[in-house]
Amino acid sequence: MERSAVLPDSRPESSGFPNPFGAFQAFGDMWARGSQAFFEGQQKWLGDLAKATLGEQKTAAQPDMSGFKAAQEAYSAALNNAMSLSSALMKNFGAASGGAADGETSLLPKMFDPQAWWAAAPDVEGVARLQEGPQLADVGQIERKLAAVYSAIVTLRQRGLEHQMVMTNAWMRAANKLITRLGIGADAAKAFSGSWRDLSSLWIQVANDELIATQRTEEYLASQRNLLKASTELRIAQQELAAFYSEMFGIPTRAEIDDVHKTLTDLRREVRALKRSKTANEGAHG
Amino acid sequence: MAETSTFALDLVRAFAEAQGFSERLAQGTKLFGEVKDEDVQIATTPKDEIWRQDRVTLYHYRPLAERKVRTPVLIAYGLVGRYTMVDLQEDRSLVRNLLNFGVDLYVVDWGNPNRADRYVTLEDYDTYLDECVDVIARRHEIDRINLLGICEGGVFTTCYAALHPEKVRNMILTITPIDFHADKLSDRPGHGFINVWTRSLDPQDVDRMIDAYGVLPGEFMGSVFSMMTPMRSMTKYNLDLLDVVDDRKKFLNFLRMEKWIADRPHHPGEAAKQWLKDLYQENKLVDGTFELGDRRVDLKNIKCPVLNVYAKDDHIIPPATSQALGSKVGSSDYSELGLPGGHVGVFVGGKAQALLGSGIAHWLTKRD
Repeated sequence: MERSAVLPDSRPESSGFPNPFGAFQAFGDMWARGSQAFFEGQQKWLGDLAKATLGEQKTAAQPDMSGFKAAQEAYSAALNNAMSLSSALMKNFGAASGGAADGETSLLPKMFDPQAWWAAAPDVEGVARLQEGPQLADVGQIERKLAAVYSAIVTLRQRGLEHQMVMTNAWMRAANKLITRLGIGADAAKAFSGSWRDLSSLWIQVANDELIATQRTEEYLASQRNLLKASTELRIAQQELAAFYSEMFGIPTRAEIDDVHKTLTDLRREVRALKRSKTANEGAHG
Repeated sequence: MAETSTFALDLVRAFAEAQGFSERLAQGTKLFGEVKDEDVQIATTPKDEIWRQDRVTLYHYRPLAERKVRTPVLIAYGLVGRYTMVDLQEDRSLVRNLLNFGVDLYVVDWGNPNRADRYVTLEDYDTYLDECVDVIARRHEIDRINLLGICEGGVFTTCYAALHPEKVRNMILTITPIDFHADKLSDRPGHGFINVWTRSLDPQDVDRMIDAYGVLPGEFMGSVFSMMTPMRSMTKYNLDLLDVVDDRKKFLNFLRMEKWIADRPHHPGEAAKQWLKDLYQENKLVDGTFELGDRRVDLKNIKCPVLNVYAKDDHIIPPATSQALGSKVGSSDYSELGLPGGHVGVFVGGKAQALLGSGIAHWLTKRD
């Protein structure tokens, strides 16, 4: 009877049962050592390749992170200073009110919390309310677009996690199948015996079969569809935000450029038709 | 009684492999350092530009042998990938094989569409193809030429032959989908995933994607292709590369293929909508409802001889999706050629690519 693998923790060390993950671990160790040696070698190749092909460009292509780090440090220092000041102010306000926590003074901590000024990231429900609530013509349009971007990011992350879950489950199934194929509890004549390359080939085959089977499931297709949709919606939300600022600063928007491209495509069609008509007429008149 | 694990590593073989691994690594390191990008050339068969419009360029290959097939052949690749696949390397080149058989050969390069081409449709490509055919016909003072369509380019030539039957002498299709739902006829694991995946999308999702990107991004299609061979994609740059790094010839072959894969153009947006929705989702070509502009594509209008070449192990275009043409075409001279290998292997696989070139040349010679 075929047995599925169980987690190592579920079997006592001294039970006399072989640890299926022991074999798997051996494979993993062998694989890791081979991979490590390979990637160390690959680093060398890539280094040589970069020297040969990129030369000095390589250094120039690396992003300059110094500005970002400096800004981050400056922000951190400013925030610490602001928080110290806020605490000091609150102490003073407390002393001035004689320690009474009436309606007005209870608002003070919020008002003097510097982080409230930074418009901290809203929670997802808040974003949804902002997006789905009634629209006012001249108020909150930019906030609405920002919220749409943020919401799209949250959705994309959620969809990504859902897809990762489907893939993780597939990996678990593949791993269990590999362990079974390695001969645990199976007919000894059919058991695996070979080198690390044979083992890796077996894993590739088992994993490939499982992944391909998974790809046909509605669960996988739905998660792919949702992921694609989420990434598309994020892109569109970003473009709508960009369009808002483009209009504000008099820069052509994506929609305006698309419109130009549509006109250009139509004009090209007309030019092609005219050329063909001209050629046909020339042919007809010898 | 306690079970015992029967899994064991063959230590002698493992040691030998480790030693071989180290040797290959050393040789590979040296090779990687030596090979430059200019050493990795594809599509090197000499050709001359003879016509250009918008992004489209028509090339004529210089002959390599005395002409034996009088009627010239125009190769049309699709918009997913580039025509350079047919001339990947000197010893694995459909172009060279056909030229060596005395075929007069042209190829149309669709260029590199970008977001500016969002509104270009499949009708536009039919017009471009028509321009190319006319240019070639005028050069040779003939009325009809031979068409050789590949994959999506095969759909272009099929539509063209149905809409302009008076201009096509013979048509050869290779790895061309006609019935986009015929993947359901086979349950071979991993075959026809693009069909399944595309059908799983809502049509509105396709529209929104084109709204967002303006094109069907080349990188996106690349990732879909990678999904079709999941473990192969994961092991390409370690195990597969390891197998070739100690052999300069194999290593260069590997890099040439990488170069072709990396050169994946964007698919114009409106044309992509037609490709994904009208064909992959609604299967309009095979049921006779597909329209280009105001013209309906009726496969029965194809009266010229047709050679339909498919790859027996094609997981991207399953054979049944190509073979569906046989019962739909109006021609009385229809033949099929099933070749060993997969979608790309049929052009670059050692055995298949030789059979492909000779098969096409012989078929054409009989109908010239």
